[in-house]
Amino acid sequence: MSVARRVQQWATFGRMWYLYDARWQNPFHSADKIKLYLAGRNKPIYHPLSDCGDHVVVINSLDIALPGMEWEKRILRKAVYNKLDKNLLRRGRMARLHIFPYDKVPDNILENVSAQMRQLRPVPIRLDQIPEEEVVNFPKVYDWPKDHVIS
Amino acid sequence: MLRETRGKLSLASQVRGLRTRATPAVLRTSVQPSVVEQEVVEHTPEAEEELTKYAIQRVNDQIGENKHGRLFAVIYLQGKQHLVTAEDLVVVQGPFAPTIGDTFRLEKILAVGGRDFTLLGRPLLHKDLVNVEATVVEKSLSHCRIFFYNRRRKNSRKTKFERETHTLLRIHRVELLHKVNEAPDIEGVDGRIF
Amino acid sequence: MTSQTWNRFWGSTFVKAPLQNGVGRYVQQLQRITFKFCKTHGGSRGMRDFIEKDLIEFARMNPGVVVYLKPRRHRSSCLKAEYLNGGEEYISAHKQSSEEIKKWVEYLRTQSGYSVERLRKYQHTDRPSIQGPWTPWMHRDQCINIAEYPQEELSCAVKREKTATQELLEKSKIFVGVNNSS
Repeated sequence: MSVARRVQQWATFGRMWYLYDARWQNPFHSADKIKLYLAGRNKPIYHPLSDCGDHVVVINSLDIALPGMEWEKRILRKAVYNKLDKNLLRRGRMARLHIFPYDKVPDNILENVSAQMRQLRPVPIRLDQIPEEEVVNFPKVYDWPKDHVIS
Repeated sequence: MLRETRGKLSLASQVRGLRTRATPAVLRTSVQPSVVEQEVVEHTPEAEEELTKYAIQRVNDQIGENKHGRLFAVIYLQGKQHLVTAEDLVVVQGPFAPTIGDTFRLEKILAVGGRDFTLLGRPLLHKDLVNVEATVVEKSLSHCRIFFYNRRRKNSRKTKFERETHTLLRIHRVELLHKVNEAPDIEGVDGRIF
Repeated sequence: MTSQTWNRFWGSTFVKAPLQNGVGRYVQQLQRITFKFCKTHGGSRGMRDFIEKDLIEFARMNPGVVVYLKPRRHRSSCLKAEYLNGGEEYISAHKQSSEEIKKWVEYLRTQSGYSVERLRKYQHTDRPSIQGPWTPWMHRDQCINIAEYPQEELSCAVKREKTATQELLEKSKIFVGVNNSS
């Protein structure tokens, strides 16, 4: 194989490192998205016999938003593990998932990151974190009745 | 490929550490990669339009001088899409009227492209623009497929044998007939007999 | 026994055509067809009908094909076809009607001489890529080349429609603007 062909092979099958911010995201819907990248199904060259999965670095996994009482049952890693295909490649694909509780990522991993995955839902702002100026300037839609008591 | 077990090394350092038999001298000497400066160019609507005109001009130059090289086309045939180039073989499954030696033109073309450009139809390209021709090389039956139905403990089983028609096509021509945005005066009469 | 077990014994192949057939010109692959039959027995009756009615027409339509007739006493009838690439095919025509035989003759005429096997792919190309193979950086936004991670702009979800709060704020701005101008 010539040098050019070899480099072409590296370029086509090179592993990407994706960053995913799990803040305020549903871990089960996120797992649906992450499993595609771990298995390489997001690529047009995907074939079940070729090992073309990507790395996914998940940050802020402590700030996930769990529906209902799910917080008692499962966590993100287990959600991804359950969603992956049930075959011999599952452990290898899980090894390509890196989960960090906060947005601090070791430098040796962060310098590999080459792209970012989009979140599934917008991150809401907490009521006590809305800036003071915006609260003051918010338009007054209606008047309170005169006998209304604001405690 | 790159070894993933060395978790502590960066991707760049892993690539540098890889040993190949025919490593060029240039790669070996450049231990520290030089910093490449890049910037993002933002497009305004006017610049976008300029760019579009420029791109179409470049494509037209290539078509005019016949420098586009080998063309590929996405054809729509019997409900299926095939990406083909000249001298390709395509099998049509199921009933298909043409017989061996027949040459015909494929009229539903979804896209055509060369080395440097791709023309996409919305959804089809115009018949005057592209010409894709095919020859029927072989017409035979598929291998015998067996459908075996068995209902357990019911003493009922059924076996079906089926061979469908396979028509082997040789795509022998993919060509562009005129430049982009420069349609001939009379349209839609290409290949029609009066 | 599943269909996969059968496929293991039958074998499989890729799409192919002999001698680049169809590139530039097309050459018919059938070279010789032999009709073997008995002149007296009932099992060859359909074959004898075919020879009386349709054989002359077949030979006239296919001038490149050599047609042999081989009468054999008290043997069942059959067809044998020989092709340009050395391939042969034998089909038993015992007790078949002339219409059935006509169909099998047409089948032999349009074959290319390769044995029939399961096809693994339904398309063959010698030039798999014209614009170059895909890489992970193809058709990506160029800003990811120099982006610093993590970046909120690249991470945030795609916004589809405005929230009620945003609508309210925008409308109030217009209202304030109208009041100020008047």
